Amino acid sequence: MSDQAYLKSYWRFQLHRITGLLRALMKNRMSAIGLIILILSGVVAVAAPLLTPYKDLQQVSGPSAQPDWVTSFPDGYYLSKNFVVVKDSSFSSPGAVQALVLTGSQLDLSSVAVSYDAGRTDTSTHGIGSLQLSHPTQGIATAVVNQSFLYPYRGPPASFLATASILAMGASTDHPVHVRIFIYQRGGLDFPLFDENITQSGNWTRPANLDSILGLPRGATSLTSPTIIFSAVQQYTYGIEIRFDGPQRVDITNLQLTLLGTSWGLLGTDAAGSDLLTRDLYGTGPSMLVGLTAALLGIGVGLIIGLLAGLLGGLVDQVLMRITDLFLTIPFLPLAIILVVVLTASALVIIAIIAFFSWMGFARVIRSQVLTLRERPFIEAARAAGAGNGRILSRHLFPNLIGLTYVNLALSVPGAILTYAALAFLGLGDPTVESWGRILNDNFIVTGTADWWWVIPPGFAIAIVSLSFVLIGYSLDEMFNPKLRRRQ
Amino acid sequence: MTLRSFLLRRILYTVLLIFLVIIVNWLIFEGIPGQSGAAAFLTNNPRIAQNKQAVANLCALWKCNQSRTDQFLSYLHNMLTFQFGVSFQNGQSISTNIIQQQRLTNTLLLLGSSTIIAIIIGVVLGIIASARRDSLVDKATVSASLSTFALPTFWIGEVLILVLAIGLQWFPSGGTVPVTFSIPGQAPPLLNQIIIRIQYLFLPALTLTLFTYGGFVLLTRATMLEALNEDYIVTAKAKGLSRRTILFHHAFKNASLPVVTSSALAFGGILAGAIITETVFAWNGLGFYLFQAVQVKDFPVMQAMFYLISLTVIAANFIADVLYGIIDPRIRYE
Repeated sequence: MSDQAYLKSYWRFQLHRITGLLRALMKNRMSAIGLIILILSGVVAVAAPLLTPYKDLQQVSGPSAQPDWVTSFPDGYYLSKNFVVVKDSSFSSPGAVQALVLTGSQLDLSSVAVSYDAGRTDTSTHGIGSLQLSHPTQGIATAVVNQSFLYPYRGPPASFLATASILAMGASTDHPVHVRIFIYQRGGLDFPLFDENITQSGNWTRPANLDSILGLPRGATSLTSPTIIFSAVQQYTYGIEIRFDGPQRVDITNLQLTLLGTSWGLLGTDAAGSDLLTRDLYGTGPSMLVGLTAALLGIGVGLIIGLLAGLLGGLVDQVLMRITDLFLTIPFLPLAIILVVVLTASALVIIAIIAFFSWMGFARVIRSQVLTLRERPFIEAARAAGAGNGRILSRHLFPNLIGLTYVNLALSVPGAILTYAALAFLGLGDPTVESWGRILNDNFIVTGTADWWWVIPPGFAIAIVSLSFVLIGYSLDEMFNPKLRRRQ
Repeated sequence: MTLRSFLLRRILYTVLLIFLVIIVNWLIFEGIPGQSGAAAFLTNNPRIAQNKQAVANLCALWKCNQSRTDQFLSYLHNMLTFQFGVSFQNGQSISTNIIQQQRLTNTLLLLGSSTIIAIIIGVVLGIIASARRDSLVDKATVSASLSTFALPTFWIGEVLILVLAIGLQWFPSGGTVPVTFSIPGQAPPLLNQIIIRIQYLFLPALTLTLFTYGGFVLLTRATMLEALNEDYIVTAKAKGLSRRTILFHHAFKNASLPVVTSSALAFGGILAGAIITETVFAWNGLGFYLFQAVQVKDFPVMQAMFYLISLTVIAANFIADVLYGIIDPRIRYE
């Protein structure tokens, strides 16, 4: 048989073997459940970006928002949702200008012209156009651009993002343009968010941190700017007041007030306001991949050491088995914790550490298997026929070890997945990689364990994926290990 | 081999293991260049690193001017006499902290109580499952035990807190003892103290038990099935002995040996679970101290905790070996 034909038949045989294995696994109820879970989680891991409209760790709502459906229960009475006040904050068309209301005294308004400027915009904020107020004459005039809205929720928002980009032409230290950004609650409460003179001409001004303007640092008390301002279901006005002094022109764009709610989506948000469902989905891939790779590596090391000890025997065997005993005695998790801290917490290092401490059991199994196989007549026959060590290893020993390898691989993946989850839970996971353990760590640090929609799904996912490997491994064990079959 | 020479060998091996742990512990924290205690402390505290006098003082404390050999010898001396130096975080003596906070006792209390309960549950369930092989009870027991290999310990703890501590408010959600215990005159009478302590211990111990029992069930079931297939069981049946006598006196007596040895081997794994359980429940033991030290890269504390935890595991292995030597008559005649 030519080499090529041999290879072809070899691969056909392997394919046949794997499909046969899968078919056998599907026949057993336990392993069928395991396989289905595994395939589903694999699909989720690959298709996570398609399953959710948000990016991982993208802020979508207020921090630690509760799930949306809580609002249907009595407990959710006080929750709010995201609320966007200005519909077209990038001023993409003249309609955006018409949607805003211009107010001021008759006299002032007669000297101020309002127009839409399609070209002039603050490029750093993805603006498209801007609203232009020009005051061609001398003297002082005040104009207010505003938008009224009804705040519909009984509870305050978690936080709000107020933005504005202002460009003042013709402003100087002597003749500044005064800008005031405010939220006005009907009934007479006026909250200035920004109240300053612009003295430079031709630079975009972008006031920052407009939601902490009342001087209350976030988290210091339960009274934050949002809780004070949006204290009732009320009519509000968000606006910007411009006072001209002399012939000046002002462009306003990126004018926005976004109220971030205290309820969001199916599973709420984390402490940074990103969607937890999205994080759970994105965590699937890395959580499984780290476990799989570590287990594969560990099994590889175990296979090599077991083969060496079993085949070479003598002193090598003695030394290798003593080393195996030592590794079994050293408590793994504390050592792993310490190593991750001393080295770096990168996924590759963690995989290497887990693999480095998960080969011992398998090495022992392989060694004892090799020791019994070595004495079998078919090996003796092969040796008598003149087969070398390499050929005996690859053609006679290895095929007899494949079943064991599958079983131990499947059974060591859950351990690796759980170890990585535990490390990540303790805050020692790779900070650049999303994982279920990390989501649980975020919760543990922030709230302890009060938010069950945050705690249950990732832990359940870890358990389910690990369980699928346990089920498959256990069934494989029964298939390959005739001793476990019931004596008829 | 006589029992005496067997014990002698085990003692020698145990001493060797302790030295190995000491060396590994030194290599990790001080053997890697730039990772010595002083260097790590200074990189973590740049403000102190600018102060020449402070650096000199630290250097004197950590003996950074001595040769590597001298450093190692003084380290070895410190480890053998349990002098772990001071914590980076607060300058407190680590040994004093361990004694004052009763950390070792707390860890052993948690470990001991949950391991004993897990072994009892595991053995009883394992015997029942093996006696009714392939029945519904057997299948349910095996599935429940298998699933413990897939459940993250910390998550079990969190779920238990959610349901039993926060939801039903039956148990405290964390801590070892209430604060009032340490205030003179505020401590309740002894009986109440014990009850309150058990309340605090219950959830962490339950978590650790749920993490551990599955292995004991499967092991007992497997060894029991093997024993039940032996000829002497057939003989016992033929003699007309009761089912109970056969199960407990004939089968389990022989099946219990592997359970004893494996419970010692499992100790390392249980301890890993204990570290995480302690963290979840803020249980003031060695594992929780390690977790606290990791958060701030407190190297001396990490070093001490790894040493103590390893010693615990090695001691447990040694005790199991001795027990095995005493129980198993074959050891003496091998």
